[in-house]
Amino acid sequence: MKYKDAVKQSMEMLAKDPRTIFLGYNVCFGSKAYGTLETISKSKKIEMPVAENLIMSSAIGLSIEGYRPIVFFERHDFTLIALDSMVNHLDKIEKMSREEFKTPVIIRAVVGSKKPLDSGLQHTQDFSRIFREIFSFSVYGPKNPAEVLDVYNSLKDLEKTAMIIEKKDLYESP
Amino acid sequence: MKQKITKEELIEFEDKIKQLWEEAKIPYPVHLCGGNENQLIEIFQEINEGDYILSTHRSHYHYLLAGGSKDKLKEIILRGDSMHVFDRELNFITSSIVSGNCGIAVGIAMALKKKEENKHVWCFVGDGAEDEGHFYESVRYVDGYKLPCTFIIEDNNRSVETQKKDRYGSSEINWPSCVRRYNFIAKYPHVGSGGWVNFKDGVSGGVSF
Repeated sequence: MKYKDAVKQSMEMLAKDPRTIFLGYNVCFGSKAYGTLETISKSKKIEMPVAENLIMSSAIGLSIEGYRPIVFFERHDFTLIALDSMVNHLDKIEKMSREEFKTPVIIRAVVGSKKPLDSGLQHTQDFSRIFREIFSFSVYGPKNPAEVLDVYNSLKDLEKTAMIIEKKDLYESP
Repeated sequence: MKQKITKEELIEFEDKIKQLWEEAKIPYPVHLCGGNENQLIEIFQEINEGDYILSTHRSHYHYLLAGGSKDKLKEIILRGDSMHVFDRELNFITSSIVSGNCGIAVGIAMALKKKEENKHVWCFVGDGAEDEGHFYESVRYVDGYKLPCTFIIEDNNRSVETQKKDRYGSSEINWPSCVRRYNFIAKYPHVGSGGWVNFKDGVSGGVSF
């Protein structure tokens, strides 16, 4: 099994839960999340404008109403634009509300490829280390298909917020 | 919403908080409301039970008009959570990040529309939020998908303490119909009550804030 297939299989597993909803840009059109969401029903997906803070904040709102959003960021670099929402809202609402509101969201952020195509300075950055410092929720960086499956299995009850950092360079690897 | 609280009670509540603040009993930031009682009472007549209310760092009046208890709010303020007023039973949410509540309002409205629930989202912001791109993204999305969400700009021509003309010059944006505005003259400064409070020694008239 390739890394990409493990991600795809994990998304199919999460999609079985009626509460899940997938949102981001290029989830219904274009590459359909690099092919990882191509088998997910369109009724389970929301195509969003490239407005990262809006995408992230919308996911929080959806979670408040009982949905379990899985947010796809095709460009890890662009997640910085959503960082305000991640740090000041996603990671704080439960604490600020003394657990009256819970906002579990799964975030996928794909680090762009360096080989054979070098995607360049603004499309290949990896902020995993910084994210681990500023979020209180977990940041995972699965390195092979087995780790991908493990991570998503550990999140399948959809009660926790987490960020999963995928590497495009690993997509075709076993 | 059937009003359970009068203009006089709103003012009386905030006067008490002002007094506690000036006595240095609340060693946390407090953003007092005042000057917009009539406008808010009118707006809340349109708001129904079950609707979501997204408020800001200045949330006391919104919470009381939403049916929140005065005692509970006072307790929240005294424990330092004036900027973090939340109530699941009332669907009441705040954010003290300028325009930070807007995208969350969008997500809730998306969910309500998907579930075909007959509820509405009311997102209160100051005119400072109009300066933020996040407000624009949210308004455009609500307008484009006709989501059940209304943004209300509480315009006191003040972002922290700066007037509009000194922020974006003469620029004025005509927002779509999901945005409403009311103007008012704020009774209090951005934060605190205008006097000096000495938090170190717990008496008024000294240093700080």
